[in-house]
Amino acid sequence: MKNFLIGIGGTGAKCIEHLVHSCSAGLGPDQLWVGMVDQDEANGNVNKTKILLSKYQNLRNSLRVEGGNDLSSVSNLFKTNITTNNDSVWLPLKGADPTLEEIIHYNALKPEVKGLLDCLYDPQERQMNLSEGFRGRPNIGAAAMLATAANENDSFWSQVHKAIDAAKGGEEVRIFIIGSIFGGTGASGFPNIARKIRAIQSEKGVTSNVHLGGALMLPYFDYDVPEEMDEGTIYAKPNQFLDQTKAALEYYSKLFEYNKIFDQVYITGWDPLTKLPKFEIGGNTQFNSPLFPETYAALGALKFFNKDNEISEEQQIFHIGKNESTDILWSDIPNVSSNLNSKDRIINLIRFAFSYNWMFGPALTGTLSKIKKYSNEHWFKRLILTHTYDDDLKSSNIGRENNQEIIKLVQEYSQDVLTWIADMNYSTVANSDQRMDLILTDFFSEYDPKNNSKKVSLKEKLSSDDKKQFKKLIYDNEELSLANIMSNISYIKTNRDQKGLGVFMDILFRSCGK
Amino acid sequence: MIVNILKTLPWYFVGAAVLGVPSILLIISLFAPLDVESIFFGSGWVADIFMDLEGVLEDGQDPAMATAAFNLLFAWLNVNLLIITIIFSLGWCIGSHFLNINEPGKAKFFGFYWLIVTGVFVGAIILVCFIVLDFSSSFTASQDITGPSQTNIIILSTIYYGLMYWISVILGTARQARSAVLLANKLPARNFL
Repeated sequence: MKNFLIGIGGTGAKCIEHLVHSCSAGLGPDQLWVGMVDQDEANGNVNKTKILLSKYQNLRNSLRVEGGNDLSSVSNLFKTNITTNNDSVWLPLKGADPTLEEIIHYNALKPEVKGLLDCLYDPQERQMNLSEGFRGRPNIGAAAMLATAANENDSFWSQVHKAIDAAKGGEEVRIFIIGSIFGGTGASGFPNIARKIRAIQSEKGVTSNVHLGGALMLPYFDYDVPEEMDEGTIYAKPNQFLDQTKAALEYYSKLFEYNKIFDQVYITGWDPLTKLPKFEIGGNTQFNSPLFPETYAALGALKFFNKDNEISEEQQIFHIGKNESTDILWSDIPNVSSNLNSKDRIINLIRFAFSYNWMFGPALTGTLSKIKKYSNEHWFKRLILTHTYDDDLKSSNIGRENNQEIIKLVQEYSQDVLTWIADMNYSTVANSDQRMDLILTDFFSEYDPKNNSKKVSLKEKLSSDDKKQFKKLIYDNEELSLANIMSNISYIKTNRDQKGLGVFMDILFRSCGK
Repeated sequence: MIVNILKTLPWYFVGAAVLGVPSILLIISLFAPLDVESIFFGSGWVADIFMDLEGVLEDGQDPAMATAAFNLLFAWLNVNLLIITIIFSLGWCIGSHFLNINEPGKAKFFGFYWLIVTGVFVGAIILVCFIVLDFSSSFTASQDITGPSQTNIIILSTIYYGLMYWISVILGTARQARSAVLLANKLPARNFL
């Protein structure tokens, strides 16, 4: 089975962040191609996800080398082989500072067509610089998307063509699209890209094996627009979100009634809306924090890709929300399948990231002479020395550059996981009476909503009191102390196929689970 | 935690059996009547080594009766020492799973705890020897041991049960806490125990 995921706009990129972390926890399929669509190429969230994808791929490639550092095929850590194009972001409109007028060759149009366009778009919209996205105007985005050709020469669309060719060859292909219903890029791209995919399928005469799913994000956040914002400036206006959503839902209701474009659609929203601390029109300063509802979209995608998910002939629409109270609980997180518990796997990953970042990562960093001080400890001998022993060196090669690079990458990734969950924990409920009862964050991180690019900072070192609090890190779960993890890594059996640093990484990951 | 304890306990019992089984056999042989026809059971070799036979004869005691009384004393001494050794070693082995070894490099700090437990254990062995051999009124045979023999018994008991304690602890301590136990990480099969 081949799986493809397309995240559209800032929301799509943010949902992919949740999905990547879920895949590293072992919730994803074996293979997944990921692409993003955003006209706002410099968007902070898109760039963040791009970097995260690249980190994930690097790390996975380094830890799944047969005969080298190998986690082995049975390990759930970084289970999904995520691939992307060289540039994971597809810009619908190429060129510097494109405008709608340029795309549709407005000046070359006949007067009657010009007149029609004048009815649909005011001059400001036609001449708006689209290099920072469609600014909450799906009518502009839709025109721009439809004006682009979905041909095989384009690296993004070539993946879709390949997917459909694979389906023609008898392989099952699942494509999932994530976008928001109330923004610019997402709202315009979601239906149009889906329809283009179906059009390619129809052109190629493929009638089966292609399944299309989607996650539509209804409004789940808003923000205060600064008073100094010029009334004439075009940007996504939060007071229009609900009206836009209403109109869009009416459109989708018609679309779904007459045309089965999607096999499964996952719809989620949030009430009350999460208030973002800072408004940014777009570009590299738009760094919105990860929010809890995005997890639903990510898990929806993973459910869609799961082998146990049987896709019926009927179009299925799923909607999900949390419990009625103001508390957000672990029980609000749905499972990917009946035998894949999302909560357990995510908790496993968080504990792994924590213990690696503050306990084992620092211990394994440095030259062999520095690391050697642990050579009397059972875990080190069993999991590191034995598996990194170099016959030529007559000692461990743990201090070598390639191994140190992996140790550093895992630590960076661990920090990404902790920042992600802590930021989501803080930001989802900021300025509201909601409570996030997933993890205890205060003892290892600090939150500064005014710092746009780095709202959460992790403590460099933990005190012994902080380390004791690890036991309480996860709410609503069996307590596991760092001492328990230390005990587990000494006892959990290694797998024969595991090699090098893969042994330690997998054992530590499993030690942090149930 | 319980699973990890259960995984370690068989190794503890192997370690304890190395010197525990000979100790049990000795105790059984000492409790057996002297007239049993056996090279090992019911023999008077322990009394031959440690009992003051000249003193017994001088006191006009029946040597056979005195040997039987001495065997009884020595048997009970070993029962007490064996129980103490098992309590301390098993206690350490189970307790080592609960030590707060929560990060790399921390296990060796618990070597201090191990030394304290070991010191208390050695003290308890010596104390029991003194109580049984010197102060107890239950065993009249205690008067048939000379000073040097008493010292020898205490030294040999401490070495024997100390060794039993150490071997069982070396094999039975929680893996993550082995750095706390003297030479535990120098065992050839240390990675698999």
